[in-house]
Parts: sequence; C-alpha cells; structure tokens
Amino acid sequence: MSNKHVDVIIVGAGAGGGVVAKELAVHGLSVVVFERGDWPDYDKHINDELISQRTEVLGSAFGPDHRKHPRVKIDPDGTRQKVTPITGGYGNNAACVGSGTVSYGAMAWRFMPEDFKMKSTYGSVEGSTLEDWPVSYEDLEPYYEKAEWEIGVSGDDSQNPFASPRKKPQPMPHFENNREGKVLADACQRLGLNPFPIPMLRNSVPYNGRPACIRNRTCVGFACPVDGKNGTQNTVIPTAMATGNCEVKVSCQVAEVLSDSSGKVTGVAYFDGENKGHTQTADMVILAASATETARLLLNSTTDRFPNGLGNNNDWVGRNLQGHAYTGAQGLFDYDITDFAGPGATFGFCDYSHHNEGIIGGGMLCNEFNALPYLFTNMRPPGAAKWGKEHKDFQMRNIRRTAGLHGPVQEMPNFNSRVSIDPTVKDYWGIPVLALSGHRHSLDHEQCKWLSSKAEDVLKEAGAIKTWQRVGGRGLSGGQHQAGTARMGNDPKTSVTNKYGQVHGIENLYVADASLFVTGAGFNPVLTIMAMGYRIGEHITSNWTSIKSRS
Amino acid sequence: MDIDRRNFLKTGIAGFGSLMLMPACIRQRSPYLFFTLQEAECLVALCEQVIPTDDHGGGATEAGVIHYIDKQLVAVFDYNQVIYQQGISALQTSSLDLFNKRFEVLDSDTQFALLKKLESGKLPKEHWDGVKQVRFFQLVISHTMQGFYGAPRHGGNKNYMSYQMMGLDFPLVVGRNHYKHLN
Repeated sequence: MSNKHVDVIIVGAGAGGGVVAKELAVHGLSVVVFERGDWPDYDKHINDELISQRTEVLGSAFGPDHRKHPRVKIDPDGTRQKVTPITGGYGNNAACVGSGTVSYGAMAWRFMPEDFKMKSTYGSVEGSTLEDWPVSYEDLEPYYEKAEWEIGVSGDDSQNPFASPRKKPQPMPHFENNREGKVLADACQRLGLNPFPIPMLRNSVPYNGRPACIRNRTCVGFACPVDGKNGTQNTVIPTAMATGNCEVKVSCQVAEVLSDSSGKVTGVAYFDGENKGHTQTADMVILAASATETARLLLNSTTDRFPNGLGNNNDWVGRNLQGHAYTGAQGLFDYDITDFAGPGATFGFCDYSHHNEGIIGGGMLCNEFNALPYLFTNMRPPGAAKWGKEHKDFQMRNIRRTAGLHGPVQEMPNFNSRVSIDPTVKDYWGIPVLALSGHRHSLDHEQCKWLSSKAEDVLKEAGAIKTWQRVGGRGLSGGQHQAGTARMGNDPKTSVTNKYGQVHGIENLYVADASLFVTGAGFNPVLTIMAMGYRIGEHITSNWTSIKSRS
Repeated sequence: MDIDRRNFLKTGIAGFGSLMLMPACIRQRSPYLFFTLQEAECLVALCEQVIPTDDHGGGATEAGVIHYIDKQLVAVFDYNQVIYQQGISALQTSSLDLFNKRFEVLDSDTQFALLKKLESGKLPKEHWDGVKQVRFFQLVISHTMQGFYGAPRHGGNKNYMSYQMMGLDFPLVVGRNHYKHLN
C-alpha cells in the first residue's frame, strides 16, 4: 500500500528535525518524520554504563544497532576498516526519537557573535576552510530565545562578562554548584577568571508539566528517570504530534532522496521496521539526520542529473567534517572533592573563548561530568599503572578525590576531513555505508595544549596535590558534536546550502542539522542546532505558498 | 536425478557438519560458553593479576570477570574469539618455555613479572607468531575492567562488589535527598 502524499518529509527526529517538525506542524503543514531508531524508554535504558552513550562497549542503548549499521574508517595510511559503535572510531550519534537530546549532558550554550565571523575576526588560516557564517549572532538571537523558552533552559548569564547579548533571561533559575564545582569556581575567582553556572536544558524547577531535576549521579549518557531533562522527544515532537499534522515513523531507515528529471525532490525511499521497501512522496524534503548521515543520504541519492549526489555539484558535501577537540586537565585532591551530585558539570567560564593572544577561537572550560566506574579506569596520571594492585588501589581511593576541567576547543575546519561513500561495504539493507577519513588541523592540538595548561592552573590553585593534562586535538574529527558536512554559504561554489538551509539549486530540499555549521565554536552545539531549526522552520512556513506553487 | 543430487548434497553437508561439531563437543564439557576449562583456568589467573584481591576486597576471580568475558565472546565480542584463543595459547607457550609450568600455577610474583613483559611486547617472538601480544593484553585489561566495574547483569561485578569498594550507591539511589547541601 502506498503512503499518502504529505507536504513535508523530515529525516531524523533529533535536535534539528524535532524543532522543524513542530514549527511546520503547528502551522498546518502535514509532516512525516522518519527516525531509524525507536522511542526512548527509560526501563530499557537503565543505569548501565556499558551500554550508555558514554562508553557503548556492549552496544548503544539509544541506538543504532551495531549489527545493522557499520561504517568504514580510513586511516591516514589508507587502510580501511569496518567499524561499529562498539569498536570505536565510529563517531556515533544516538539513533532514537530525540537522538542525543535524550541522553546528553544538556549544556545549553549560545555561541558568541565572534563564532559566526571567524574569518573576519582572525583572518585566513593556512590549510583550513575557515569562513564566516552567512548568518550572524543577531540573526539567530530571537531563535535562541525561542529554544530556551520552548524546550526549557536553566541558567543565569549575569555573572558572565563575555555572555552573548540577550533580550530575555533564561526561563528557569540556574543550578547550584556541587561540592567540586564550588571549590574549583572559587579557585577561578582567585585567579581573576569569571566562573558562572552552566546553562542547562534541564529543569531546575518544574517546567512544562515535568518535574525538576533530581541531580541523579548518572545523568549524561543516560535517559532521565523523572523526565527532568529536556530534549525534543519530550517537548517539540509531542507538540507536533498533538496537532494531528505530524506522524513519526520509527524504525524506518531512509535509503535515498528521490528526485525527478527537472531536479526537484519528490520524496524518499525507505525500509520499514519489517525491512520492507517503500516510498513516501512529499512536496519538500528536510534532512536532519546528523552531519554524518545527512551527508551520506545526499551522496547516496544519485541520478543522471546529479551523478555525484544531491547538492554536490562542486564536491562540498561531506567535506569539512568537524567536531570538538576536547582538552583539559585532571587534579587529585587529598579529600573527597566530589559528591556525585549529577550530572557533575556545574560551572564554566568563557575567559578563553575568544580574544586571547595568538589563539584563533579557543573554548570554554567547565568542570567534568561525574566519573563513571569503567571510564574512570582510564583516568590516571601519566606513568601510573594501567592494571594490577596499584591501579585498583587508585580506583578505590580516588574516584571521589579526582576532579577535572575540560572544554571543547573550536576546530579549524579542513576540506580533507570528510564523509564519503564506501565503494564496497553495505549496511543491513544493502545501502552503501559512509567512510570517515582525514584528520584535525594541526593547529587544533596546539590550541588544546594552551587550554589544557590553563585548566591545570585552576586545579593547582584549587589545592590539587597532583595535576596532569589531558590534551586532545589529534586524529579523526566528528564524534557526537559532528558538524560542517553541508556547509551553508552565500556562494554556491563553496557551500552546499544557502543561509536558510536550502540546498543550492534544489528549491524543495533543505538541511536542518549541524551539517550546516560553517565553524563549530568552542561550545556544545545543541542549542544552536535548535535555534537554526526554529529559523529554518519559520522561513519555510512564511514562504510555503510560493514554495508549494512551484513544486 | 535432481532429487538424487539434492540428497547427495544434503548427506554431504550433514557429514561435514558433524565433523565440524567435534571440537564443539569437546568444548561442551566445559561449563563455559566459549572457553575450554584449561583456557578458563589460564584467563582467570590473568584477570586476577589485572585486578587482584587486596585490602579493599575481592578481585577479578571473586567478581566473576571470566563469566563476563565468556558470555560476551559468544555475543557482541564474537569478533575477538580468535585473538583470545591464540593469546591464551601463546601465553601458555611462553610460561611453559620460560618456567616449565602453566601460567595459572606460577606464583603470583612470577605471573606479574611475565605480564609486565607481555604488556611491553617483550615475550619471545617465536611463542607469539602471528599474535599481537600487546594488543591481546590491552584487550584483556579492557574487558577485565568492564567485567569488574560494569553492571552485574553482564556476568561480572558479582553483587556490585566493586561499587561497595568505591563507596558508590547500588542499586542507584534515584532522588536528591542524599545531597543535603543542595536542598
């Protein structure tokens, strides 16, 4: 049986797709959202570190199924290996309704005005495709506000002298520091830094009919047992469905975007939960499947007219794959500095985000999410035993005595860090899988060294008896903060979409996830993905009559 | 003719299948899903060196880490089966050649010294032909840590014993009342 034609298809029910679905559905458009995963269910996603989004060593509680969704990783020497979320090197984003917003740490950062103008602020960087966004902070500000109020953010910018200008405060009061947060924030203040509470997509007070956060020890990597963490699965997606205009088709794997000889897209081909192939037609298709899977879909959708895939006439799809070069330092204290009040990270500071001598961009620093027992087995000072009596003794004595400061360093995008289609490996349904290749720009590691030394200074000031740096910024990019593979820009020769996420040359095809990001800023990306979703949704609804008449 | 041919093929497959089952029959005498008894004895001793019993409490043996690894090797870690068999076999070869005893009967200090060499890839190359010794040991370390510090439902960490040693709540206390300073 064929599916009923709808106005809009959205592929991916995560941060971007969920927001756009709601914007379109409440404006009366008929929408089908495709999600390859299922609805999240707390009872299935119990507090089990080994299947949590933090480790995935025994599989991903939030998807995807590691047996059905392989990828290929290409090493610098050209070796190709099949990878899964279990083996590592996969760059997984959760596959379920809500995607990463179900199990994330929920930091609700606005980017800074400079983050949208990296090239005009810092100039060109050799070997990098660093560029300004076609969108400014001012363009996005009203949509940040909308995301904060509709999805729900707790925070208070007033103690952050570097805060991006805002018209309205965040809707809920900020969270209190945990024990370690208080000690480290005090140390920051003594050093003349400006610590403040991290804005969070969690409820500090009851909000939108759901309860306040209970400071669960296991938060990031897990679903919330009281539903006090705000994602698209418990906010905008239910709102979209309540209109009666939005259907969410779960366990459906989209294989390709279909287009006609005139170059317009007509719908998608997909496999349902019983692995049967179907087509769904629509007047418009919006891809929000993550920076890796959105690029894969564009590249896999080839026709005579688009032999290199949709939007890929100039070979920019899949390029500039970015993430965050996480870096920082750890400190060992001679008393129990952590109390495990979840999620752990409570304060941050933006003194190192921009305008530091010799640094291009930078990153915020904040205290770490609570240590999980297995992950903590890898947190040791350099030279410490990796097994045996000494290793075990460190674990038992110090899991409460270790604190860290870490942050996401803004990566310098480069053309060769990319997603491409593997010529041989196929997924469970026979769809060609994506290959990840390239590596971070050499400047990333240098900037990580700098930020790690700043983190170590704070830990020393806080009275740590031993400190050590954990310096990132090397190797394959991507990861959970994956971005950049369908860059937005004003020039079709050097970008994939225009400033509204509309694919150049294909009027009824849009992208609405972090694939659009020109640069990734030194902040967690989710609030910016949501804000862009609101902006794209508004653009589509206000132009729907003219778009529809031409499709 | 066609039927005859099909029957012939069937018989052939059945015969080949029973040959294939022979090593599996031997394995079935073991209480483990994957390991033989001898392999398990060696690996138990190896895991106990990775996480030993000490003043904090029991080690990998008491926590049942072997059951975690055994269970996962026939499930999500099935792609690691070969390196486990080859690694255990090579470790026994090294142990027998250097000390004239199987690894599990060596005294603890000798086991430790042997594993320090394994860790840095310094056991005799001829015992480890085609087996990456550093990779094998890293894998055993990771899996032992997972079995000891992960959830008991996967086969290890019996009665959350590692959580007791770390002073972590188990099962997880869901609620904020135990964070007095935040209320």
